[in-house]
Amino acid sequence: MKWSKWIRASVTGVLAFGSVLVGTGRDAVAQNKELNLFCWTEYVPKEVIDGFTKETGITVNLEEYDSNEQMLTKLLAGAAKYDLVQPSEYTTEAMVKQNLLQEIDASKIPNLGNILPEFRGLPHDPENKFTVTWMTGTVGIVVNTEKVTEPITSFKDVFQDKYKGRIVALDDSREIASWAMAMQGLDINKVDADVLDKIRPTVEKMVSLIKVYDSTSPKTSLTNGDVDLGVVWSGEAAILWSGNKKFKYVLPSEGTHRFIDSFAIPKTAANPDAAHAFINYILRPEVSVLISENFPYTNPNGEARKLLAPEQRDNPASYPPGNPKLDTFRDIGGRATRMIEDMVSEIRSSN
Amino acid sequence: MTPTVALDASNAQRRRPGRVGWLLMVPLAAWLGLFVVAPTAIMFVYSFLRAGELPGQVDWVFTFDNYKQVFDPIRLYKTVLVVGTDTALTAGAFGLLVFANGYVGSWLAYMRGRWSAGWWMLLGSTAGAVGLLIRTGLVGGVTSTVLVLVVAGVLAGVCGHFWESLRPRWMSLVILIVLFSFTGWVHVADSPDIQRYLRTLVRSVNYAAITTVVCLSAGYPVAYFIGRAQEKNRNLLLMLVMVPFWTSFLIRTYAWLTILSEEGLLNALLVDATGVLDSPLRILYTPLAVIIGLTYTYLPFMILPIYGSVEKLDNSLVEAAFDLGASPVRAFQQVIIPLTQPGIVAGVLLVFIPSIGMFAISDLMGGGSVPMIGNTIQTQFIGKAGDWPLGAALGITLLVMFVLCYFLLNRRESLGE
Repeated sequence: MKWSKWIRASVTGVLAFGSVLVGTGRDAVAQNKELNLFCWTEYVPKEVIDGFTKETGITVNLEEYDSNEQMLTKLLAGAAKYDLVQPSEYTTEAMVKQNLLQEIDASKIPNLGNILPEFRGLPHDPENKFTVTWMTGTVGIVVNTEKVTEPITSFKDVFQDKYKGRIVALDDSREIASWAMAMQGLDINKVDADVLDKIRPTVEKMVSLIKVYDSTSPKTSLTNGDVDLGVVWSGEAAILWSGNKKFKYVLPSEGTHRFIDSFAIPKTAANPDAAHAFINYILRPEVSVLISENFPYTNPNGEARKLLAPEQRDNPASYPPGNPKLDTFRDIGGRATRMIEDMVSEIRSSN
Repeated sequence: MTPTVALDASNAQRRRPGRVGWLLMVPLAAWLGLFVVAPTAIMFVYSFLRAGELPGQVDWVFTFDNYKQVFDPIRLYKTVLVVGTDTALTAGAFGLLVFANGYVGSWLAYMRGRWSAGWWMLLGSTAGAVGLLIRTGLVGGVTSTVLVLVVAGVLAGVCGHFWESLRPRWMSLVILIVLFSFTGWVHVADSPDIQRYLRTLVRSVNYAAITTVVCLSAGYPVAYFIGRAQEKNRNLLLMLVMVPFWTSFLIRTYAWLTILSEEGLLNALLVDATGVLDSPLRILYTPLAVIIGLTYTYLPFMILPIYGSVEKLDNSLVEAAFDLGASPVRAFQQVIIPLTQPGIVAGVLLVFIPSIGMFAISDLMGGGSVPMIGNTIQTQFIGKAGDWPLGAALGITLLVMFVLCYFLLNRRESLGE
């Protein structure tokens, strides 16, 4: 009698424990039948992914992030193996320094020639060994011209007391610090304790005026009418402008920076061939146009630009006219990044 | 009918789990080990390391720097001084008010009859509300002032009224008063003397306390009503309380964005449709929005435990109170409230502690400008800072704080009763 009790208990115990593991078990997947894509939110359209899967039969597992640091953290944690990531230029620099990326095999990507020469040989990857440029853009000012009748041309115009509580900004300490540095005419890539002390009063003033911090979708608060001004990504501004012409995009006169997001393949990628195939796929002009239609950033693909609708090509947020003064972020090292984050988060928490 | 498992008399006396019992405990032990002990141990180890170059990397160097950053000794001393004196003042003032309310009220009821006690209650409640308002200064604008006035007034009066019933359990009253006094900390948070992380912590405790107080005052009547409803209606009512849980938590929070935003439903109703207000209310992306979000999310957590207590209420005790000449209000305060106290305590704990650490709501509804301690820790792990050791140190600090509170509370309860 006691035996059966024993058996029953042990079976129950094992079943209960085992059911936890079974749920997480996974079949071994044939190599290169899957693609683990890790990209920015609102950057890779669903139609592109579906089109790729339909054509090649490779399933795409999509995961998103809204800051480079988030991407790095998850990549380094190592729990999931990503085949493609989309770092910005300064993150790419850091990743190359730390030996995290594998070299791209140009022979597997015949469409590589579609990229305009000005987007190749960039400082973060001078020999085009590790990255393929995805999209570039700028960070600038969006103005709801119905609510704001004054002309806005610079950061100083935006961060005035009369616009208190009517501003949305990117939720990114380095961005906020760089705007303060631009306002004071400092080099945005030179960061040390003295510089931070100098820009501290400016940042304090900015933080006291900003209402919403949003890197994922800053256009939401602008369309909802909760804010009238914003310092946002150019793609968000372009979407706002094509939805309603009252949203004007302005590049600040003090100077701003452009960001260059590229595709890169981490060393730990499980499906590098699928990654190369995907890069080749999105470099096709007709696919690249799809991406631009959904997320109107500055497209580096020359062939795709020829296929754009005139309204898209004229969108001042996507393709800024003239030759604006544009910087790029360089890698400033972990310590300096943490110092900026420390200062900005302290100012934000005391507000 | 003989039971299938024969209960041995000697077994019952032994009261120790046999082989069967130990085996059945294996899943629980494994779960606790994997998901509670192991992560805490990892966090503990990380809190003594130093952050490396890239986010998430660490240098294996033993250092106390993280804790030094959290507990800057000089500012910690100033923090304790400022916060301590503020709490003492508020608690003292509020306690006096509750005492006055209750004592004078019951004396008036005894000497002059119930009607004069009622007027006194009103006066005392208003005084309590005004005092609390001056103390908090949390929100501006007419509507929010009225809101705070109403809530605070009701609570002050109620506390005074229940002074008599809570008197034997004076510890509970003290806890209630201290909880109330947390709501006055908000201006303390602006003092530059306070260390940055502790300032965020104070603010988080503040919002959590306000949420708990609002949930308690809104949730108790609902739970009481459901508990005393007819058997056939009770299940339906409970289901209505739990229906929001069937939708994703994020979707519910986003729904609030649609309601509270400047061109959202609430403002459309007040400004466009009825014309009650001239300019739209700016509630979203302020601390008030965060508290609304927190209250909405945690209200069912307050209702359900109290409902559990109310359901177990022995009606014969209430009838006995009536038979002995108690008025309905008296019966409520002296019989029902003490009997449902376990439910109230459970509800308060279930709302207060999670809302301190909640970061999703303060991120979405506060728009990143109302940081709570949960957001600070989240930034260290996922955000730009990438300083895992500092995040771990903050996490361990919170954990130790909760464990201390729990032990203090337990000890007090066993002493007070």
